[in-house]
Amino acid sequence: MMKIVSVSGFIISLLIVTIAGVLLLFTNVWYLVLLSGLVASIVVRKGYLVSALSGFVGGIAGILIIFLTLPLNNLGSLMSEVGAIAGISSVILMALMFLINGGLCLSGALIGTFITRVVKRSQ
Amino acid sequence: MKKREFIVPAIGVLIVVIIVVLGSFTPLISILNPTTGVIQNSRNLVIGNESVSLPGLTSKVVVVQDKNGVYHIYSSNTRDLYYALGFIQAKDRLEEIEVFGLEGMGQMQRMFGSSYYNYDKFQTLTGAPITAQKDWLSVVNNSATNATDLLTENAMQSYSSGINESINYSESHNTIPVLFKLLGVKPFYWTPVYSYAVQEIMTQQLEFGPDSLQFAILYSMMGNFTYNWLPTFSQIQTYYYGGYSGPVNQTILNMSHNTFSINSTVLSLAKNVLYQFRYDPPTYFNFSTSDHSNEIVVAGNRTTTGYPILMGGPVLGFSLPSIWFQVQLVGPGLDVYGVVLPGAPAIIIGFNQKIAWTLTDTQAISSGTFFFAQQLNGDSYLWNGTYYPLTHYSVNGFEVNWTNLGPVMAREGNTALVMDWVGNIVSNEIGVILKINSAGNWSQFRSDLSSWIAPYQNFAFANRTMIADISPSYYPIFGGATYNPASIMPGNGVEYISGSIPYDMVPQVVNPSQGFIVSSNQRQVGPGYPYWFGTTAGFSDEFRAQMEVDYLLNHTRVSESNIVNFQGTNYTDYAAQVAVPQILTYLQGNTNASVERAYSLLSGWNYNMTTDSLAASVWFFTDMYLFNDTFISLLNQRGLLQEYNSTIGTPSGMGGSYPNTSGLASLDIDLLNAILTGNASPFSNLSMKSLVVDSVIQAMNFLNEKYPSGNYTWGKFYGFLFPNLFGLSEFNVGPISKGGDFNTPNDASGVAPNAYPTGGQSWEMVINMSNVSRSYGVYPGGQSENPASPLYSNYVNDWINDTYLPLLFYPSSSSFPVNETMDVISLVPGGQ
Repeated sequence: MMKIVSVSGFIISLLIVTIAGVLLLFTNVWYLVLLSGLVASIVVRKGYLVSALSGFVGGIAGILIIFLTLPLNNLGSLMSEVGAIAGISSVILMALMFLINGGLCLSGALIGTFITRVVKRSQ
Repeated sequence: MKKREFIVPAIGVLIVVIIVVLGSFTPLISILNPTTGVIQNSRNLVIGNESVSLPGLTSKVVVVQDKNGVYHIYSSNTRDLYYALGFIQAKDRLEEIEVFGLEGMGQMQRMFGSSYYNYDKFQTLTGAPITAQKDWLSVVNNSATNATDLLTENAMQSYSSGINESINYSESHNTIPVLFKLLGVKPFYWTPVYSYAVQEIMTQQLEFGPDSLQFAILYSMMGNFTYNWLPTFSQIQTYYYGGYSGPVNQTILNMSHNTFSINSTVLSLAKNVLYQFRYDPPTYFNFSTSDHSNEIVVAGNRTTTGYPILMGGPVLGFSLPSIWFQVQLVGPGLDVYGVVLPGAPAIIIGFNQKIAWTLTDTQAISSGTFFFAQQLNGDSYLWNGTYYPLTHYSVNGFEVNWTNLGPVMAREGNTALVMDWVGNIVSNEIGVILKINSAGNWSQFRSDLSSWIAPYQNFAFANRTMIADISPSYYPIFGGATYNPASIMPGNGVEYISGSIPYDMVPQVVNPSQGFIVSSNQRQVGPGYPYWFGTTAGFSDEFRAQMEVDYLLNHTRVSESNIVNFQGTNYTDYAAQVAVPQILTYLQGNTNASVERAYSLLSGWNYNMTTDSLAASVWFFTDMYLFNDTFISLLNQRGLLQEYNSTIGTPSGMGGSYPNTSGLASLDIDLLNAILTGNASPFSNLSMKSLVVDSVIQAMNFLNEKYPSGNYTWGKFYGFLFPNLFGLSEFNVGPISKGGDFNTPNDASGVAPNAYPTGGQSWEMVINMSNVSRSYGVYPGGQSENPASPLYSNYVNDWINDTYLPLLFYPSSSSFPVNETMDVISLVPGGQ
């Protein structure tokens, strides 16, 4: 029963992070996606593991959703161009994008979980 | 709470801090931002039908992109037509447009940082940014009374609005070009002043240079021997499209041989200014460029269709994106096809329903850049015994002082070197081109060109019944003491520019009896011309033009495909054609094995610089060693080599084909004349025979050392490199092997592996006046500046393989066949 609750919590948290994350990305202020992890962890309250996992995976899923709005056929050649100019492999650049978004969501989730715990304890 | 409970949230905070630091010290966060960063630019690469609402439009404009990527813009009013051109061109070429504008205005630091300080300073000093502002002001002030200025004002304002709307559109869609995102700069809004800065840039590229300074320095070293080194008239050229091939006008020759002696202070200033010229062009485009061109017009009585054929081939430095953007513009009273420059809304070379035209650079004529040694006293300059106040300008953070002659380029005490450059005459060449875009006959065309000032250009013309050529420009006439204008002149008033050659007397011809006109950078008028018109010291010998004349003399009836094949694949080297038979007489009977092998190869050669030719390599390197043994040896013997190299720069043959050398047409002409006359004097005391034999041996040793198997085909030494405009070598294309050399239509100097040619015919166009809809053309590049686009370099192989593309020319969007269409963009009025 406990596991089922954790899985459903993870899925709900993941959905919140992903949807809120995508919405926050459209503010064009990337750092704000941190709030998606934070909100999800406060709403779901399933501890660090669930919030961290859902935060990170949700962040990655958010980027994938953004990709779906783009003409993917051209993305490879474009990133190769950017990589060549920047002197960084296009694969590393793409990986960094995922990591940064996942990292921001994960950070929000960790901080959110901590806040939840502090609040719970103070009550 | 226990300390360990803070560890996990602290990790979260640490991750955020790392990302914030990353974003503060690198552009990674802004570049990788999923909704505003570079991945959004993949939208720019989509090719497909679309409809775009633009607030600046008053009516719908249909833009058909044909199957080759060329845009055909159909508008019901002229204002929207130029607006749409600005929008569409910026959509594909915003980086290029803005860089050209900044380059012209001397504001490269705005985009590329302080490393461009010296360039910006020099560009500001030349006066180009000041003149660009004056040009536009003059258009605005005169538009109420001058039809050309009115047309220009409307076109330029609409075009600028179109570019700016493209910037707004990209910003609102987060698709500002990648280069801006990576550099972390925002595109600036375009104004017509920047278009005139582009006009200045083109004038600089085609008509600007330190020829006079070099001559003065050379004269200080060589004295009157300089006239042998850089003769006024060519001993080789026989064809002058503008006539006057009679005896030498002695007054003009005397003028060229009356060089003003400069003192050590002026000499020092000349060297100083010559050094500053090294900042031009800016280093982002650090490849050597050549500014030659071909133009041929054949009359109807010599073509298979019975109607004229016009061939255009402007030779410019290559770049990706190309300097050209190919479009058809259709609006009220206008249906014109051709190529436009970045930042200027007029079709420079092209055709309409009734006429076709093309441009080439004229013979050098001191690059339109004249220098005077003038006396200053504090803030005043001396002219005819009276001191006048200097005019001060503060531009781009630099202080510039002008006398009555032009900007003070350098000053030492009371002595200044002042530059009188034709590019600093207030003028409206963009307006002239806008006018000829809709010209319907020769008289209108010629009349429109009467206000052309610079750069010095030849305009070839054809319609269905006639051919013509004219070289309109401001060619100065010198009054007073008339010292040699090809050197530094006294600036105290004893010599002055008293006016320009009258329009009726500038080189021109209509329907010449031989049935063709060639104007490919050779001197247009012969030695009998009554005005001073430069010397042989310049960028182009006349060998290519002579080769083109020979071809036309030997082909009395040509088809369009004949001309296409000639332009693209005729690799006949005129210098080789006339020199090699003479060289063979020097080699005949010589028993040296290398000489015998060279004789065998050269004697069976057709003078074509084809990639599979061994003889072509033997000729090229023989010519280069001969050049070296004749001229460099002389400099060495006279103890001038070090001084010459450190100031003027090391020369090499065939337009400066060796790396880090420069070309000088005079020396190529001198050398060919020496071969033909068998007399190397006054350049060498050795016999021509011994010079040639020695050069052949050196060439064969070099080739055999390089390719011991003996397979030293010309293709191993010659080919074309297409560099990325912004210096991003990852996006260069080539080098790709192709035939030719400096004396063939793609007359780029250079040799592998360290000096591959990076120039050539930047737009090859053959117009069939029997039906202009059956015309062909290609330029090496692509319509898009984005290396990720399939349209970035798609024409390069066509250009290499001489696959000319049909210039699709339909009068309306509805008549454009679907199977010829790549996509259709509907631009509709509406708010954003």
